[in-house]
Amino acid sequence: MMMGEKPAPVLEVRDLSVSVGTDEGEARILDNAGLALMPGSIHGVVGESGCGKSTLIRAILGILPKRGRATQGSIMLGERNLLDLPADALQRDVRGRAIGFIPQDPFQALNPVFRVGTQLLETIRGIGNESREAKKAHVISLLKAVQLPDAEHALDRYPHQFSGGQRQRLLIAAALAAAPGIILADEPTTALDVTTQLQILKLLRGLALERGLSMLFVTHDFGVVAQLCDTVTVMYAGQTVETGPVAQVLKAPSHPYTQMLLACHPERAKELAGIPGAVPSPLRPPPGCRFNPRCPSARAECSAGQPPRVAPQPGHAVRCVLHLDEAAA
Amino acid sequence: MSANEPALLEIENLVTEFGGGKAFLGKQQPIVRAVDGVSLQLKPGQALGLVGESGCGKTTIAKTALGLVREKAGTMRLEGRVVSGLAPKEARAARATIQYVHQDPGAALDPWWSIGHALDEALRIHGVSDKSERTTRIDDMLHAVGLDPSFRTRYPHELSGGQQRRVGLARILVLRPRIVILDEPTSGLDLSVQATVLGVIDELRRRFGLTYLFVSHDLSVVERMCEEVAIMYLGRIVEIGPTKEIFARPQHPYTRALLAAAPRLEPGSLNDTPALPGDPPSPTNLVSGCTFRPRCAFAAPKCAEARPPLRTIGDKHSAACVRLEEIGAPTPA
Repeated sequence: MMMGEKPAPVLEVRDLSVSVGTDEGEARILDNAGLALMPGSIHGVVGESGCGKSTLIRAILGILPKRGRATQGSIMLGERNLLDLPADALQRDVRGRAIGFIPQDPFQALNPVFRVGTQLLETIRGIGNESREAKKAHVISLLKAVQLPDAEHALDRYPHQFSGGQRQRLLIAAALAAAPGIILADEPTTALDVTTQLQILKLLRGLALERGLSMLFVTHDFGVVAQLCDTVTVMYAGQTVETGPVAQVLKAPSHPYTQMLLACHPERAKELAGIPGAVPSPLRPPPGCRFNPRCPSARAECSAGQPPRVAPQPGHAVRCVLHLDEAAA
Repeated sequence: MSANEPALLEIENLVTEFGGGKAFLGKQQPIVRAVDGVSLQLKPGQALGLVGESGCGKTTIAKTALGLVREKAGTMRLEGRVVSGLAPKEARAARATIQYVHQDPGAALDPWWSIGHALDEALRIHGVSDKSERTTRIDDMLHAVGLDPSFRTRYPHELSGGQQRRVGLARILVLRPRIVILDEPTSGLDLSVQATVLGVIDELRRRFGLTYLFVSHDLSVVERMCEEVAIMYLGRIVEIGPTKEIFARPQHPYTRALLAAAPRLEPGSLNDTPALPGDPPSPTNLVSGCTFRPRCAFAAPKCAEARPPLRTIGDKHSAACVRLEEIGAPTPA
């Protein structure tokens, strides 16, 4: 993918741990999670429910739940650590400005009682000093960019007058309104049918290329990762277990969890068996590698401490002791 | 399963409509033909996949077959007996060997009732009066779906998503149906749990000789679970046949687009796959002839003339498109 000198990531999460206070104690939702979003790339974040992928997105946007806080690590947007920024700076410079967000459910993210135009213009209120007319023209040009039919008249209509796919296009336009360089997308096609999903994925890919966007795309669907993404990070129970180019991770998954999860896919499964055991509760996570209680290759050192980061190939990193031997050999 | 074996369930030209009524002081409601002349057969022991996008009528077919929704026209024969044209209550009684597994068994289970109570009630309603027989059957069935008999005393909220699906299956199978309609049995489940639940569903079919109507929008699941598949678009079957054959050589332009759009574990297929334009039209206001033609890359004037019939194009394989010969063989996926 990247040639020559390695460019710096536009967004980098380093050793991030996030805890959320609950009535039953501290839930350690993220544990030493890390990923690097490279300029111009579409990076998939994939994992099953409860793996912390949505919390990761919320941590980056600074919208953790009330009793949630980062206990360790940093989130670097260029030179700035987002965790050190005060709330008003996050609101002014980051959310919607440097980083745009596309939510999961196009049926819930729009307010049914306001016109679409009001809601889209709201996202760029207080940005720039163009006239309202100029801003309107800007929003209409965005609606054309997301290929919404009859873009000129869309601003006067209400959300219910659009189909699911069209509403997702409206939300993409909203995310692009302040011209961010980074887009975070949280399962934006999960609620859509496959033919509509294909339209949206193609649109996202085209927009990323056209506008030089870097995109973090959260999903539970390896198929969508294969279709859309350049690189992928696999998460399990709050830990980032494997990162690498999509083709490599799909062809030669290195972490036992990635291997077992891909082996559950109906396209690949030899027998339909699943992964024995259940995802641990974040209230009482197992020590060390959180997959170790379910891992067939687990050894004593797996529960001793944080699994080491090993790179079986350049650009492909795994957090698993099993690969230490290979690296040493 | 031989080709000449009589069908367990035979559906011919089934039509189901909604709406058409008039609200008090309101205006006439439009009629929606949710199922528009569907014919299909279920052979004993077979699993038929019913595939299509939201609003294509796949769940309505399931509910009509079950007798929960009354058919407007068409014939249904169950084990050779005509069971259509009956009042809802009689229809349901006549179709007792058909059972339905709800899409979200978590929502279908009463939160105040233990699992044992819920299973027991199903048996009591269906006339099993002997308590010890009920208990044995419940324990056997919990065991068959891979749950310990101790689950009898648990409550729905104590179960994981995968366990709830198993209970949903057990509650239906304890009634010893011959045909089970599975409505999106793994939607909303994680990949690793989905694999387990699909494994249980497959195993139960073999063990009890069940016949499945498998309603799903997930093509990779249907490909894995069903020998035959019917592809639906706006209330009609556009293509039906052996799963292997259809996945290898899809004929109808909609089937081709649907299969091409389905995410597969092949990196970077996005740029080579053309997306279908637009959205499915509203079922209240359909075009003449082939309802897919406004979105079809191969549409021609003759597509508007009449509804395209399902034509046989291979062994048990049919598709409803008048231009199959002209548009040629599909490009290999």
